[in-house]
Amino acid sequence: MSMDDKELIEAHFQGDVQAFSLLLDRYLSPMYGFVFQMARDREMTDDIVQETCIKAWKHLSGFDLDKSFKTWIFTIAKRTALDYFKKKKAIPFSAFDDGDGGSIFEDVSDIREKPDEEFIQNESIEELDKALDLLPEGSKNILVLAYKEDLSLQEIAEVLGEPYNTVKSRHNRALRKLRNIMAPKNLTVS
Amino acid sequence: MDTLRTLFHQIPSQEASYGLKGRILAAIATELEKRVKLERRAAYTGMLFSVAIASIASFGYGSEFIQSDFWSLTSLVLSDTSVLTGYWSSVAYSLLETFPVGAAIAFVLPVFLFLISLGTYSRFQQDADRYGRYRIGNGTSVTA
Repeated sequence: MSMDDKELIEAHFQGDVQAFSLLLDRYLSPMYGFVFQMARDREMTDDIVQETCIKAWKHLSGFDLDKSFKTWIFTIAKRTALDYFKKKKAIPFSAFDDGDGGSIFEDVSDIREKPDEEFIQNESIEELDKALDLLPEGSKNILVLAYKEDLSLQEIAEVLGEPYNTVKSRHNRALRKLRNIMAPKNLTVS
Repeated sequence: MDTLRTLFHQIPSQEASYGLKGRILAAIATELEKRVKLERRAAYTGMLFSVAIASIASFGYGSEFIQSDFWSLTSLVLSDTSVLTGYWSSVAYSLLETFPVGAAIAFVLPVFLFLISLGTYSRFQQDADRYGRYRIGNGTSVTA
């Protein structure tokens, strides 16, 4: 029977040395993918992910067991990545900048919470991957966290350290941009 | 017709580099080792300091305390309890007035320091035990 995150963390504090290793098995790949989106370099990603895991291990006692471990470790990963980029001065542009100059205060009242957008898949998955690469980093990150990592907008707001409404409006703009990029390629977002 | 979520899940993920998990576990083991050494050093230093402070306090304040009014009154309370109960409020005030604050601090401080050091020593033993099991439990994966 597989243990949930809370049980694994409790087992870790009871001295089970394999518990943290099992947590790593669960979250190493998603975290790696998330950090790679920002770093675009395997060596840098390795360093950032390693530092993130050590920080998580050191500060696990401060983790609130009622919260999501995934959100918590992704938040640490994002902060570690930004610190790493600052130290190395390696970031070409802000990974979380929207990049389109749009106001974050745009009307969000008509935006549904993560609408279950439907795609007509006329092209391959690679086309979607390429389209994502054309999005500004901030937009891409929000979509990846929302649809690949299955985080709620509230959780994404926590990871990015931004207000919920800002994330909500940026999520909507990101979807619009994706729709615009994919429309000429017959891959539509309805 | 696929949902956006389904499509995103079909995008191939960046797999973690080979051996990354092993390197992470090895780094954690190193951190744990550092912590164990630090706790051991802190515990032994604390105990040593508490014994040193207690010795200095006994030499410096010991005779002073024995010859103090406070000690005379306290001895009286112990020997003539029935006589002093009638004057308990005066005796209490006198005890407060003559209480040797400096000596009390000098004696209590090493006791506190010793208790803190014992706590650190207990943490050190737990972490040392965990470190031992960590090396055994993750020994193969550390080099993976």
